[in-house]
Amino acid sequence: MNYRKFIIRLFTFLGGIYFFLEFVLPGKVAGVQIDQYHDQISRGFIVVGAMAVGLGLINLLMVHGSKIIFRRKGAINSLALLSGLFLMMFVSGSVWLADLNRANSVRKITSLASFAERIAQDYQIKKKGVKPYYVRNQLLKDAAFKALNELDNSVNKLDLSRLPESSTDSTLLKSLKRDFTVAMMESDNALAKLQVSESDKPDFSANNKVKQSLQTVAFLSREIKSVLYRYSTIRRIYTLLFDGLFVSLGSAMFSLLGFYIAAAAYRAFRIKSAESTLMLLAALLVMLGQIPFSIWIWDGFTDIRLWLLSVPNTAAFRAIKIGAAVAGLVMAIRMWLSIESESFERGTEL
Amino acid sequence: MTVINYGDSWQLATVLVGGIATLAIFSFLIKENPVYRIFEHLFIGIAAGFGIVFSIQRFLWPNIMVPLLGLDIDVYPDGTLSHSYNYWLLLYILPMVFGLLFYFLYSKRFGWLAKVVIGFQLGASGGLAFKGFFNEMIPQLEKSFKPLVVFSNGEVNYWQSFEHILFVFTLLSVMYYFFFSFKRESRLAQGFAGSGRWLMMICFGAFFGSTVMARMALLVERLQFLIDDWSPALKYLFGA
Repeated sequence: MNYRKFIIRLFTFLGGIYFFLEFVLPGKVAGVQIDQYHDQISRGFIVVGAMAVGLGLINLLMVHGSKIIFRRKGAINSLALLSGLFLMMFVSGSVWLADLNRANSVRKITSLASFAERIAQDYQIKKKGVKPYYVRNQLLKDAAFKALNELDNSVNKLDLSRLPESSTDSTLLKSLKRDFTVAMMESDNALAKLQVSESDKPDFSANNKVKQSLQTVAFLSREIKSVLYRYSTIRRIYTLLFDGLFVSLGSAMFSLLGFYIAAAAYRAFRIKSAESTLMLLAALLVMLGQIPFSIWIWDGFTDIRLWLLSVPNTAAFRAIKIGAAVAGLVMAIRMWLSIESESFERGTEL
Repeated sequence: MTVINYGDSWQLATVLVGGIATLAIFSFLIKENPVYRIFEHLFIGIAAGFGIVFSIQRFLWPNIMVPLLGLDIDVYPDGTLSHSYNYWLLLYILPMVFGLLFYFLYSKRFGWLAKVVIGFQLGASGGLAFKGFFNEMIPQLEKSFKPLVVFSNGEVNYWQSFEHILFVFTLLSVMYYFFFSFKRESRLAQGFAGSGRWLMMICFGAFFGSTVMARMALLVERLQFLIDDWSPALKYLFGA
């Protein structure tokens, strides 16, 4: 075996060994709690696979791009595919960036809310190396007043005219703005009650109130911006592409399969043997148990359908599944140990 | 039925486009045609574009990139941090770099390097399948062997006992039908395997019925959309 084959087989083995050991070994090995890192390690495996995202994009570009450039048969279809791909990538990417921007616009406020809580926590655990609580409260107060002022200005500057006057969103926005004004006042009051001078018995209830009111302000401001964002051009293009094309085309494609199944059933379900008759009867009873018309004729069809699905169908399917799972397990072990690697190693010079 | 605000041109356009797309796909029922092909390709393109952004937005960015770049760390007004940077996160760079080996697939000379990472993924899926088999199948297998005689309130529950006997019989006979390690010579063995085959037909029939009903539900939804949403939108557009 040459060194390349060896490396491939070694990495194939290494890829599977973690999940195998994770299953057979206890969570704690030699005093180290290994299972607490399981999520991070699993993410690492997903990251390896996620890096192949660009591979799909490159393949699509190569196959369909060449068709368009050389004007081969089906170039128009390829053009439709690539334009759909890039348009959707651009639009959903823009919507995602806008979501991030909205989250960032209130980041300062949410950060200050967690700071209010942290001040109390640090005092209780007597954390060293930090400024006294009353100094930190003063810093929180100053920063929060400034951030709230900026947020208030940004919310007041929002252009509400793009919302249709009589829409439900318009009513929702009015109510959100009202709640926002109340929350801003509550935040101001809570900030004013913060202890900013040294005391023998420090009271952190104001810190808790500051945290809650700042979180409410952040939430409401984000909601206001979200409602408005629904009426932005890019969001509407996204809705057009997603609801108008993606969802419609997807459900139309799958419902089309209903016709194919019916056509296949015509060929397969002709009563030519006892077995096909049995299959036809089972299918008929399951379908009758699901449509309102047959239930109107006799409501016992529902019970028959449920019984068929829960007893003979579950048992037979489980037997098939167990058989397939045993075969899958054998195949997985063969793959993991590179016993099944002949076809995989073919094609490239190794 | 969606409540459509016809004055909203974007909403109107979304409904109109949805109807055209649905009809384009249904046009395949007459015969294969260029309009169907274009919309089919458009669907693949949109789905791929959405999938790429979605996987970055929902997995790579929040779970890997944000903690790796320290974007989740807040600097408080007193200069302290919400939490310190976890340097172990830098280890994520390793699988990222390793995953980049996929792109050697296009090199004739270094193509084998792509097989290293593909092999790694295959190995990982093998290890996961091992774990998945024992975690998923063993409990199912255990639960399949139900008591053959069921008592309720001190008396034999004949119906439930019959159900359990039938369940176990079906399970064993179907499994036996696929048992090819030795030849079935006795009439009993042949009959047992044969009954497994019959019971499987009931299972396939029930499956078929469920699948047809699921597809029909989608078809009904599409037809309802065309009748209730799309045709009024069309009428509005042409002023009827």
